[in-house]
Amino acid sequence: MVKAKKKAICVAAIILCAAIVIGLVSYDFIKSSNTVESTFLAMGTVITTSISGKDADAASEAVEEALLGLENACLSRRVEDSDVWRINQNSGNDVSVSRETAAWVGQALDISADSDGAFDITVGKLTQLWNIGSGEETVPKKAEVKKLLETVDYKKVAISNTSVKIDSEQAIDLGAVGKGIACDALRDILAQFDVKEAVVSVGGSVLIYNQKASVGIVDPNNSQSHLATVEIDNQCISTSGDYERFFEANGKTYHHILDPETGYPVVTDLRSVTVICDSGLDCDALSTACFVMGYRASLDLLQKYDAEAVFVFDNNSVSVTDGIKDDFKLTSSNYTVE
Amino acid sequence: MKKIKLFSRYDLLVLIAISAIATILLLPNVFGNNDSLTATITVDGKVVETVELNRISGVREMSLQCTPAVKVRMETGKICVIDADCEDKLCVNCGWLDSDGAMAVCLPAKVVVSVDGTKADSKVPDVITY
Amino acid sequence: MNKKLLTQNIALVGILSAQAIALSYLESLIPVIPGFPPGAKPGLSNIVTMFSAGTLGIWQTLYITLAKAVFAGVTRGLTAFLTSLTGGLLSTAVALLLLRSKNNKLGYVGIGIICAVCHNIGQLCVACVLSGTPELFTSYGPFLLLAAGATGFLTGTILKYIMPALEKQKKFIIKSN
Repeated sequence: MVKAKKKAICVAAIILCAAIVIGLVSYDFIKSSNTVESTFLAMGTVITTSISGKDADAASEAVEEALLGLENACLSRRVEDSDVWRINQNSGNDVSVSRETAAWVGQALDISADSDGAFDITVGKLTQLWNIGSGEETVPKKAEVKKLLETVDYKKVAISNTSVKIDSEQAIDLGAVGKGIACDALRDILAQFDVKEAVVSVGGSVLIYNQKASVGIVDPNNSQSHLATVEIDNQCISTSGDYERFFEANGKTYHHILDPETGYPVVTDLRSVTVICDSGLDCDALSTACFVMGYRASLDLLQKYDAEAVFVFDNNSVSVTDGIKDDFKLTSSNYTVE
Repeated sequence: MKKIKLFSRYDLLVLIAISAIATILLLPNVFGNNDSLTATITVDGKVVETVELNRISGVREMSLQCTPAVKVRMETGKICVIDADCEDKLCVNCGWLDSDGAMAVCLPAKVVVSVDGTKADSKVPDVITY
Repeated sequence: MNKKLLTQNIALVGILSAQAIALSYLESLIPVIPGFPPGAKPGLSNIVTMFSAGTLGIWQTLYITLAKAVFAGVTRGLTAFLTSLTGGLLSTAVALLLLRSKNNKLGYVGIGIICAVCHNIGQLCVACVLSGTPELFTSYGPFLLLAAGATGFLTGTILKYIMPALEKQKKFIIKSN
């Protein structure tokens, strides 16, 4: 009887030990499959993050902090002492900026050159004039547009490793690529943590970090639904479209993507262009450039940057570049693929 | 070692017991509606309300403590921003939010209304580009 | 236990482990049984552990369980190792308690069923924890429970009928006077 009791205790002890070991191993597993999701406002837009991995909590916090820092220190046109603000305030002079800002401006200028000015960061004065998205827009006078159009010329921007100089009449606006820049910056932040995978959306510009994900392309006619999905593997994806910000005046709709050639919202048969490539900045800049250039002229530019794209036309047809044909799936019956 | 029978009457009890437990566990699957759809409302980054939308009967309206003022309405399985005291009314234009991942945002009031559901529908993408 | 007996025991544990592993491998060749939830296997290797629990001892049985888990780990990865180990330990512990208890009133069928149930519960717990979806417990659990009823019935019955053969094998290796 005593022997049986001893055995029972022995068995119980073994089970307990096993439970503890398994518990510890599982805890490690849960930690590494730990997913933190968060939604917050920064850079004047909505950020949603879903980060998985051991350091998901810390990484999530760092991401939020980094975005605020990015806006205040570098990208904002309005925040005093940000790099962009100082470049615009001291136009005509060399302005020393952070290495990152100089590199981003350089990268943007490359796409300006390759798109023959279809994408141009020196439209700052014009975007200020139109001020689309402020809620108090009016159509500016023709003469005003014409005057400010003369300040638009990316060739007048001079950069070095740590400084940027623009023409005294110019102003730059990184708004068109700000979200993409944020994606690139966040990729570097995430790399500093033990993060397995992440999906980050900075106002619709999306970074897929170390994983595959299905990304929906918003329906230009209905912001709550998507017209298609694309499978993305460890890349960035972003969309430019006429539905994002616009206003109506005298029965006409004016959207926020200005043509650097005319100074007016682009007249095009496109509703939106979605671009997929490795760099978030390139995605943003290329999607704007393609929207301005139109479908045919865009293809060579995309090829040069090894980028893929989805074009949505105003007759509800959709065009997809060859490289992502297999990853693309139309989900809305209102559209047809060409 | 003691001689053990192939089948004792206690074995029958065991069989009956596990069948009963399995049946009881299965009941909610058969009768319950286990689609969940949760709306989360945040003001300035703080969660002020989480609502299980499928459990709402009738209409529920709520004014959020923020400036400009924002008003939301909830019905079974859906939520929408019905009024906002701002210029653009972007959040109001979003209409009803009734599926996983749907979201309405009022930037001036720093209000985010988002809906999360169990992803029973595998067609739902992980994220939307816009 | 003297040295000679220990050696004989180790040899027997090795043979039984090999048999358990062979049975789990055989089972992995069986396609998903219609009407059964995916992942529910007959659990034939439980026959070996139950035999060991009843006629050998605690450490012998634990070694066989561990060998099974390591085999699962080597062939199917860490997750398989954890599920196999948790399920195995839980069912082994129950088998040890029931088969060695003096006032056990259950037959082979009942013990087989309870072991299978414990095995599945252990596996399901690990699956819930690893995938982070506790919903699995309520959605998948009932089916695994029913499956365990059937497979436990099977393994218990088989054990009863091959008991003489296994005893013979034991006597062949462990020559106790």
